[in-house]
Amino acid sequence: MAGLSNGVKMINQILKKIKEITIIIIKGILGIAAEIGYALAIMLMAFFICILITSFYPVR
Amino acid sequence: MLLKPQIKDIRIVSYYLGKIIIGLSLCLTLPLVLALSNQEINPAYDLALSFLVGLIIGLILISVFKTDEDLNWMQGMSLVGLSWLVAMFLGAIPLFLSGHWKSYLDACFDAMSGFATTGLALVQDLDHLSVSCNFWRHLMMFIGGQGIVIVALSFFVKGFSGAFKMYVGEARDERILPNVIHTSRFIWLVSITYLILGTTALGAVGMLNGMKPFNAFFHGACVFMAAFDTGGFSPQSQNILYYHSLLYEVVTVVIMILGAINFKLHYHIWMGNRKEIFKNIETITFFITIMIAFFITAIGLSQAGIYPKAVVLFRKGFYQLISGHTGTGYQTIYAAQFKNEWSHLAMFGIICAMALGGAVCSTTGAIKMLRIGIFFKALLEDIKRIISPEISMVTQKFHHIKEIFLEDKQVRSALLITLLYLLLYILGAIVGMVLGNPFLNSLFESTSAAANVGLSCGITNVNMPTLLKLTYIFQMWAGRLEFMSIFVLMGFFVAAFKGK
Amino acid sequence: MIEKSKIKNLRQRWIRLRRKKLKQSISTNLYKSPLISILKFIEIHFAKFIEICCLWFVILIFTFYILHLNCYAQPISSSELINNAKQYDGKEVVYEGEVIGDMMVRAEFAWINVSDGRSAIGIWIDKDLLKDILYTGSYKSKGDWVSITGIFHRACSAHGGDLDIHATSLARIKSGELKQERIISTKHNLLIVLLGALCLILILRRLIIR
Repeated sequence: MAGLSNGVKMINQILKKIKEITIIIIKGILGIAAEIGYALAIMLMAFFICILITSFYPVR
Repeated sequence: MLLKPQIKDIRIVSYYLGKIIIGLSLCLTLPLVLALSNQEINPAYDLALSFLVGLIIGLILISVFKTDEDLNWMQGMSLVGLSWLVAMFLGAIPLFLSGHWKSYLDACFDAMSGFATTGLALVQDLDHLSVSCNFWRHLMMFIGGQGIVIVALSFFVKGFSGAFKMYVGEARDERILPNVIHTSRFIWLVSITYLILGTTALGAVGMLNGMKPFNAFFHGACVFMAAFDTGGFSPQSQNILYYHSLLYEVVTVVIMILGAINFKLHYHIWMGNRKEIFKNIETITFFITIMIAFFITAIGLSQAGIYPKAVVLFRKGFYQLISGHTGTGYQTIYAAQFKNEWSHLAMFGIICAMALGGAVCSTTGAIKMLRIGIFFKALLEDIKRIISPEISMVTQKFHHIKEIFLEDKQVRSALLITLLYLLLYILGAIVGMVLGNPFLNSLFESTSAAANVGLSCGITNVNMPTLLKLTYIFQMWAGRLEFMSIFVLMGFFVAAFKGK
Repeated sequence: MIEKSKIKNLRQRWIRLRRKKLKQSISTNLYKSPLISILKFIEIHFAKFIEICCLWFVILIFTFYILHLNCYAQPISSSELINNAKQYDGKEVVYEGEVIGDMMVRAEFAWINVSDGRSAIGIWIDKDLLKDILYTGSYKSKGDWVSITGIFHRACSAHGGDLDIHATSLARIKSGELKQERIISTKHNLLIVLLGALCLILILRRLIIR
C-alpha cells in the first residue's frame, strides 16, 4: 500500500513538472509571437509611410 | 593619485585572459569540423593552426599566472578591453592564412569587424571563400554579439563577483537574473532558440527561392547569426541583394529587430509579461525614432526621384534604414549607389538612424534607445519644472520593466556616453576628411564604424589608407565596449608608467 | 554635258594646283619639320586614298554614334555599370563574367549572379538559356565565364528596385572547372611543430600539478 501511494506521488510530481514545463514553453512561444508581431507592426507602419510619401511625389 | 599596477594585477589579468583565449580557441573547432566534413583541406589546416596557437598561448598564460583571486573593477575592465584586442589578433589568423585578405592588418580589420558585430569588410573574392572560413566569419559575429566574456562566463568562470565586473565591462549592465552566470546562460538560450527558428525560416525561404538545400541552410545559419547579432557579414559579395527575394528581406528585417531588443525584455516577455513590449521606454523610443528617421529618408529619396513606387521605396529605402538603425549593416544596394544616387537628406536620415542604435543589453551598438528615452524624459521634466509653480515638486518616471524614477545620475551617465559617441563619430569623420573624402561620406562611414553598423558608401575598400583602417578598428572596438573598458585599459598603462 | 565637262576640268585644275603648292611647301619645310614634310608627301601621292578613308571614317563614327545611343556592343564592367547606373538605365548592354553561387530557378525564369572579379550583378534570365552552364563559382569550382546581353535596370520596378540585367541572350565563353587543392608543406610542417609543442605543454602541466 505504502509503495503504491509512493508510486502515485511520484507520478503526480512528474505530471506537475510536465505541466510546468509546458506552461513555460507556451509562454515562450507566445512571447516570441509578440516580438515578431512588434517587428511586423514596425514594417507595416513603415509601408504606410511609403504610400503616403510616394503619393506626394508622383512618378516623373 | 594613480596607483601603479602591481605584479598581482598583471597575474590576475593574464590568468583570466588565458581562459578567454582558450574559450575562443575551442570555438574554432566548429568551423574546423565543418572544413573536415566538407573536405576543405587548406582551410582545415588554417583553422587547426589557429586553434593550436590559441590553445598554446592560453595554456601558457593559465599555467604561468595561476591564481585563485577574484577580479576587482580595474582588473575586470582592463581584462575586457585587452581580451577584445587579443580576440581580434587570434580571429584574424585563419582569415589571413586563407589568402583572401591582402594583409594581416586587413584580416585584423575583418576580425574586429566580426567580433564587434560591425560588418565592414576588406575580404577579397568572397564568392570563392571556403565554407568553413565563411562560417568562422559569421561565428565571430555570433560570439561577439553575445560577448566574448559571456562565452567565458558561461563555461569557464565559476560564479563570483569578478564575473559581474567583466560582464559590465562588455557594455552589459542589465541584471536579467540575480546570478550573472545564469544571465549569460539565458542570453545563450535566447540566441540558440532564435538560431534554430531563424535558420529554419531562412533555409526554407532559400529553398523556395531556388537554392540548393545545403546552401539554403548554410546561408540561413550565417545570415541569421549576422542578422540577430546585428553584424552584417554575408556569405556572398552582393550581401542580401544576392537573394533577390522580398520574403528573404522581410525575414531578415524581423530577425534584425529581434536582435535589437534588450535581452532583459526578451526574458520578461518570454516569462509571460507580453504587455511590456508596448510599455517599455526602449520599444516606444525605437518605434518613434525609426518612423522619424524613415520619414526623413523617404522624403530625401522621393525628392531625388530614386524609387518612385511605394514597394520599391519600402524594399530599398526602409531596408537600408532598418539595417542602419538596428546596427546590422545589411545592404540591398551597392555601396556606390549611396554615394551616387541617394540625396544628402536621405543619407542624413540613415546617419541619424545609425547614430542612435537599438536597445541596451542587446547585440546592437551606438548610443542606444534607453539613453535617448532618458534624454527626452529629462527634457520633459525640465519643461514641466519651468511651467509648474515654483513650490511644486516635479518628478519624472519612465517604464523599463518596472516604473523607475528619473534621477540626475542616470541622466548624467546617459548624456556622458551620448557625448562620447558623438565625439567618436566626429573623430572618424575628421580622419576621413583629412584623407580626402567628402564630409557626408566620411561622417557616414565613421558613424557606421563607431556605431558598429557596417553600411558602407564605398570608403571602406581594400585600397583605403592604413591610418583609416586603424581609425575604424579603434572606433569599432571603442564603440562596442562603450568606452569604459578602453579608458580603464589606457589608465592601466598610464598608471604603469606614472603611478606611485 | 558641257557643264559636266567644265566641272571635271575645274576639279582637275584644282588638284594640280594643290599638288604644286604642296611640293613647294615640302621643299621649303623639309629641314624645318620632317614629320610635316612626310605627311604632306603622303598627302600629295595618296590624296584620293585619303579622301576615301575620310569618308569611311565619317560613316563609321556616325554608325558608332547611332549604335551608342541604344546598345553597348563591348562588354561593360560591373564597376562602370554601378557607378554610371543612371546613364545605362534602360539600355541594352553586354556584360561578361563568372557565374557564381546558386542558379535560383523561379517558375519560368531564374536569377543568376555574374561576377567580373570586381562586383557581381544579378541577371534575370529565361531558365532555358541556362542549360549550357555546367559550373558555378564557389570554393571548389571556378564558374563558367559567360557573356550576357540584356536590358540594364538601375532600380528595376519589377524586382523591388534591384540593380539588375534582364538577359535576352547568354553565351558561354569559357567553361569553368573543379579546383584541385594542393597541400602547402609549410602549413603541414608548422602544424606538426605546434602539435608537438602542445603535447609538451600538456605533459609539463601534468608534472607541475603532481
